Formats: sequence, C-alpha cells, structure tokens
Amino acid sequence: MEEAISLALKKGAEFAEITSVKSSRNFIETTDQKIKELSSGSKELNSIRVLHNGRWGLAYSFEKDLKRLAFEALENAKSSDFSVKLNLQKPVKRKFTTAYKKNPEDYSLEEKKSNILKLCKKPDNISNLKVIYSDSVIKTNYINSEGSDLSYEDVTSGVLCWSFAKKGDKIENFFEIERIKGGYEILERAENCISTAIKKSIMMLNAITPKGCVTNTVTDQKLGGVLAHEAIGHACEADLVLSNASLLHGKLGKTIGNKLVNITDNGSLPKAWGYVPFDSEGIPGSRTALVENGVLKRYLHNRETASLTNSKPTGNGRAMNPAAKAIVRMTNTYFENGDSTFDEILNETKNGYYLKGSAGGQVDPASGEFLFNATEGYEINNGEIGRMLKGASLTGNIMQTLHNIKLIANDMSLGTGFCGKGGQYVPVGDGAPHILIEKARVGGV
Amino acid sequence: MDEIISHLKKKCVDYEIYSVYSNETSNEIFNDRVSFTASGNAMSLGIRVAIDKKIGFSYTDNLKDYKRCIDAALYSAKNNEPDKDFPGFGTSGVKGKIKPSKEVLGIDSEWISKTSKEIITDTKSRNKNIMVSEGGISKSLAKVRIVTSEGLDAEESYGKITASFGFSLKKDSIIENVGITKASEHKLDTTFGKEAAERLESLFVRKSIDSGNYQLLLHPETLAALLSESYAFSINAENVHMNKSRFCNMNNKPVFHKSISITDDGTTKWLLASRSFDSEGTKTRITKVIDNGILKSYISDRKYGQISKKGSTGNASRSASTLPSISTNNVIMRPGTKNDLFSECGKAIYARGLLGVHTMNEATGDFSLGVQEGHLIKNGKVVCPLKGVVIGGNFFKIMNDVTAMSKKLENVPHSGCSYLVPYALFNSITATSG
Repeated sequence: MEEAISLALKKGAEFAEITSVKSSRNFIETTDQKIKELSSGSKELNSIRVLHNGRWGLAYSFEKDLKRLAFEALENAKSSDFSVKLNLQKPVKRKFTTAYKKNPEDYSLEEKKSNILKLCKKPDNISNLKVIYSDSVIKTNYINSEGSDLSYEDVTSGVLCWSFAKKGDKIENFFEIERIKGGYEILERAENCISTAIKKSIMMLNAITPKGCVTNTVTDQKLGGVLAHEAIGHACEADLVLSNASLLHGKLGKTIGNKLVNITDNGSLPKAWGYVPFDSEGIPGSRTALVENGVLKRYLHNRETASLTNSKPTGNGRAMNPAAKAIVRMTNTYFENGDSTFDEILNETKNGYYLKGSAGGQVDPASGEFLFNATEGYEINNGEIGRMLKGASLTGNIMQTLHNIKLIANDMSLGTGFCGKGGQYVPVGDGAPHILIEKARVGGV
Repeated sequence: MDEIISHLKKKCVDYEIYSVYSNETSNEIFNDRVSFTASGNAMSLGIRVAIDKKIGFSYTDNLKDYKRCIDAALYSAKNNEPDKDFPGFGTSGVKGKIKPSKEVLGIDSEWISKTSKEIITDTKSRNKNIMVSEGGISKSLAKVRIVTSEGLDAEESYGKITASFGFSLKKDSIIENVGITKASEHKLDTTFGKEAAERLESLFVRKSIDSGNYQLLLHPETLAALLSESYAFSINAENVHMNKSRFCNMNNKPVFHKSISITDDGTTKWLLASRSFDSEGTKTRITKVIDNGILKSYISDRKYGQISKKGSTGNASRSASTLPSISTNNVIMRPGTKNDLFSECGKAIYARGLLGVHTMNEATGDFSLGVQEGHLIKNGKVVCPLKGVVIGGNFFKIMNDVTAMSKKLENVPHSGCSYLVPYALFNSITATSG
C-alpha cells in the first residue's frame, strides 16, 4: 500500500490515501416460520484518492492493483476543478475492534437458523410474520500520506421483525428492529423484538387516525432522535452550509432555539451505532456540541470543508464504501438530557399527542421544513395516555420547533438507523429524551 | 467462468451462477464547480444451488475465492428446509440483445466534466445568484451473465448516463432549493438550467393557507413516487400470496378509478429498466396490470408465477449479492384526455415535490406528507407558493377519486425504472397548515 502512496506523491500529489474494505455477512430470513433465505457472502473493494494541484481524483477496483489505481486517480483529478488547499493533520496509528460478548463466527449458520426459527411463532391472528437475522464483520484498513495507519474490525448484528395483522378486509402492520455493535448476543433481544412487532400490529387494527392539527406534542426517544438528526444535524453539515443549502448558514453564535436545547454529534461512543473510531479520511471520531443552551455553536466538517473555513475537521467525513466520496455526515446525534421526568411532561401537556418511534423522515435543510412519521401514537387527555393512533406525522420548521420546545426529560437513549445523502447510506445513531413541543403541527389523514 | 461451472458440475447439484461486472465514471459538484472525479470497476458473483429443493446461496467479489463461495452455498442448502414451491432454475431460450449505446460508450471523465460545467454556466446565465450546490453526472456500464444447470447461458450489457443536480437560490435570507434528475440509455438531456431557474423563482415568497379540503394536482414526478410505494407493493405476487397486499383476491375486480390503466413494460428499448431477460433469465414482456381500473394481473417471478399457475411475468430483479425478488419494470400509465389540468382546478394544491414519500405505509396506503415544492391554485391560476403544508390521505382512496389526467406523459426516472405518467388531478385531499 505504501508504494502506491509514494508513487502518487512522486507524481505531484499533495495528499493521498488508500482504503481497503473486506466484509462478510450471514443472513437468515424467515416468513411464516419457514426459511426464505439462508446465505453468507463476502465483499472486497480497494480505492486510492489523491489531491493533485488542489483537485480531487479517486479510482477503485475489486482488484488490489494499487499502482494502476494511483495513475487512474491522478488522471481523474485533471477533470476536477480546483477544490482546496488542504490543511494537513497529525498522523494517527491505531487498531480498533468492536467489543462483543459472543463472536458470531463461533456459531454455525445451522445453529443460528435453528435458534431463530424457535422464536418465530406466528399467532392465528397474524397473516404474515417476517423475521430477519443478520451479522457482519467489516474490516477496514486505511493509510495516508500524512503517515496515518489505521484499521477497524467492526462486528454488528441485528434482528428485524415485520408483522401483518388482519381482521376481515383490514390489514395493519408494525415493524421492530434491534441492532447492536456486537455479536451473537443479539439473540437475547430477538424474542422481545418479535413479540413487540406482533403485539403492536394487532393493536394497530383498532388504532384511530388523528386529525391534522396544531397541538402540544410529546416525542419519545426515537422520534426525538430523528428530530435531532434530520432537523438539526443535516442543517449543521458544513457542505450544505457552504453551498447555500442550509438555513443555519451565518447563524453560528446565534440563538436558534429554547435555552433548554443542547444537541451533540458524537462519533466517539464505541457502543453506539454511528461510532467512527476514524472517519473515511482518517480523522478520529469526536464529540461536537452543535447547539448549547439554544445557541448554534459548530458545524460538522470533513477535511475539505474544514480547510475551506479554517476549522478543524470533526471526524465527519464519511463514505458509504471506498468507491464513494467522503462527504460530511453525522455519526451519533442527540438531544442532551434535560431535568424533567416523563410524568411531569405528560402533566404539563394536559391535552395533545404522544408520538413514538420512527417510520422515517425527511428535511429540506434550506427552508427548514421537516416531516417525520411516527410508527405509533397516543392521545393525551388530561395528562393521561389515551387511545392509540396510526399514520401520524410530525411536521414543522426547524427554527419554530426548537423555540417551541417547552420541556426536556432526563431519559435519553440512542437508537440505530441509516442515513441517506447524495445516494450514500451510512449507519448513524440518534437519540433524545422525551420532549414536549408546544404548537407542533401533526399531520393525519 | 468455465472453472466455476466445471467445479459446480463436479458437485452434482442444480445451480445458477449470476455474475455482474460493472464500470463507472462519475463526478460531483460542490458550489458551482466539479469538486471530485472518480472511476472504477467492480465484479461480483452470486451462486445459488438446489439439493432436493433445498436452496443455498452465497456471493463474493473475489473471483479467486469461488470455491469457498460454492462451499458456502452448498452448506446453506444442506441446512435449509425444502421449498416445495421452488420452480427450478431458468432454462435455455433467451438471448441478450441489448448493448450500451454508442453515445454512452463514448463518454469519458473529460466529457462528464465539460458537460457539468456547461450545465452550471447555462443555469447561472438564467440567474447569476443561483448556486449549483450539489450533484453530478455518472456513466455506468454493466455486463450481466446468468448460467444454470438447466442449460441457460445468457449475457447482456447495459449502459446508462445519469445527471442529478441540486440548485439553490438565496433572497433576503430565504433559501430555496430544487433538484433535477435526468437519466437515459442514449443521449442525456442537459438543458434543464431554465427549468431550475423558473422553479426556484416561483418559490418566492411562500405563504401559509387555511387547513381544510382541497383538490390535489400531482406533478408526474410526485405521482411516480407514490406509485413506486403502494402500487408496486400491492401488485407484487409475493405480497399477495403472503396476505400483505390490499389487492389479495382482487383479480378482475375494480381497484382504481375506471380512467386508470397501467402496464408493466420490460421490453421497450428506450426505457430505463428494459432488458431482454430478467434476473432469473425469463424473457421480459409487457403485462397489462390495471385496465380501466380493473386489476388484470400481478407481477411475478418464477416461484410466484408457478404458485399462481400463471407463469413468471419477467419481473425478477436482483444484484449478485441478493436473491431475486419481484419488482416493477417500467411503469406506463395510459394518457388522460386533458391538455391542461391547471384550468381544471377550482381550489387546489399543486404538489411538484413531496417531503417524506418513503415514510408512507406501502401496505395500507396511508400517507401524511409535506408539500416541499408546491403552489396554491385558484380557478386555474397559480396564487402562491406553499409554506408548511401537510397533506394526509390514503393512496388507494385517491386513486379511486381521480377527476382528470393530462394527455401528455412525462418520463420520470425512479428507482432504476422509467415511469411514463401524466399529471393527475384528484377530487379531495386534507391539508393541514399552520
């Protein structure tokens, strides 16, 4: 690998990096207690990226012909425009491994299949029950011309259950996902994941659809996490800020929300789903306070945006795979704890909605408009949780919503997910305590 | 490939080898300039084996590692349960006829860079304050080969050029942005600077509206996005068989308004998802799915075609690292009768872009979506761009409530397919604003 770096430097590159990723995965999918797929596989990809005369070029291949790739990357750089004079960083040499209790490679696919099938018991009132188990090991090796030499063996596993309940002509569904940075210990969580999906899909048959309105709304840890990620995190990505695509452009140091609001991006939490011991540009993951006491404090950076703004890279340059450009991405983004309890929040709400879980969301960081769909919801009547709701969405504008946050609880937890941007998907964590938002716009049918 | 086939033959099992070689050249735009150029290739191999109807599957990107891949597939087959509905692997009879066009083959990184700069220059000539904030152009080539123990050996190559750009405009501290994507297997339409400028300028200054019921006018892109969720889910024969689809037991029954007819087209050459054969080696075809609102056919692969006794419709889709699954080819709607749908609007929300379409419930059809780019229309006239409006409804309900569709169809690239769809006006939708 070092030879290709030397070659790129000899040909005039001011910076070069090589990334090599090998991954393996085991996958089991069951439908109605029968195996649909039982498989395993591996992938491998190598790339070299160069900065030559301030222009970026990259070449990748499944073959490890790194010298040829170095020439191709240098050639590609000629087709780019001048981008940046890069501020070089201190080299880092370290090896990282995910801590796990049970190595998934110690258990045969046969044993995994047998254990999963035992858990997939479909009650009579469930029309379809899909359960997926997967585990993967991703080994990343990274070196660059600064002298960094890094490796990360990442072990992850997960269980997904999607349950369909049917009553007459009515079909409702609910899905539940458990993912961990860890190994086969995921099985301990599988039973609860499956039973929750089954129970909630049956409850959905009697859920009512809320009427669209503006009201007091309490979000749970998952939906609040999506608010932190979609509404604040994306708007803090420096590439969007620099390209006029974020409404937080020019707002550093300004108050953008209630003083209760503290939002952080933190790539340095080893057990969290969005952990990056080092990002795709060899920069260590770090904790970045985005909003403190309602004031916007920092943006998130990759090497390029940090150099363009004379800032420090924050370890947020992430690429989906070695073939892709490392763009500014979040890691684990969350509202910090407040000092209220959930009961205090319900009492303060009096009447409104309690929205839970996330069925996905989207934000327009330029206008600040966002929409998140909850997987379930409940009426709140006189501070008590009432009837179940389905199909509810939380929508609004980032700035208004942050100012309308009235109470924040002290029960933060982090969830797991994937974030899409520029056609690239990377694992991210997001989280929050329970939050009370006044005058929230809730969409229904 | 010969070594792989020979090794599999020695194992005395039924097999299917699915290989994909791909090559891509692309760039990325950041702040009105080409910020990054990349090229590369990838190879992947997926192997399915069947032992007494027990299926095993494995994949690798390292061709030298094919023996381990075959062993892994055999191991998973031995530990699997028999699938009584397994129809066997594809048989001989199809031949690949599609090749990448000369236009696409002739594209290199220099052309991509030059064309990107022309798009930026063209856009800024319309309004110098517009920033081409993100996106880029990519050329992708792929060669797919399927070989089975049943005598199938088919190979086909595809080429595609895609341009996807994000544009933003700032006026008095308000930022608006729009995205435009064009894709073709032949010549790329790069003349969209004017469209970007007009759409951006039309969004100043947004206004809230009263909550209540409005007519809904969908642009073809938003209609295609909704179809790709609930329609694609409901016509999938596996979802029907598994009791997940609203269209279970609805064959030959009305499911949409009688003015709606939809075909699934895997053959028309100039459309994006057209192939000579699908991912299981079944010859592609045109399938009449909805005819005058009546459900005429589901779309299926070999397995669910056998279960329904109607045969595969050529809708199996996969990558080398996944098993085949059912998906739409190109989705073609029959044109409507109106030249201009705006003049049909009394009080309507025109939705050019929606926020959160992927969050709708594809099984039930329930949705609650933000109007990201939209306008209020009154008596055929555009009144104002919309601010903070959410529309809520049910996909199946509105598809039975269509009042008019345009004569003209737009070719919308979506999820690797072409959607040829009209503008569509629906009678009523609930809007929340505030």
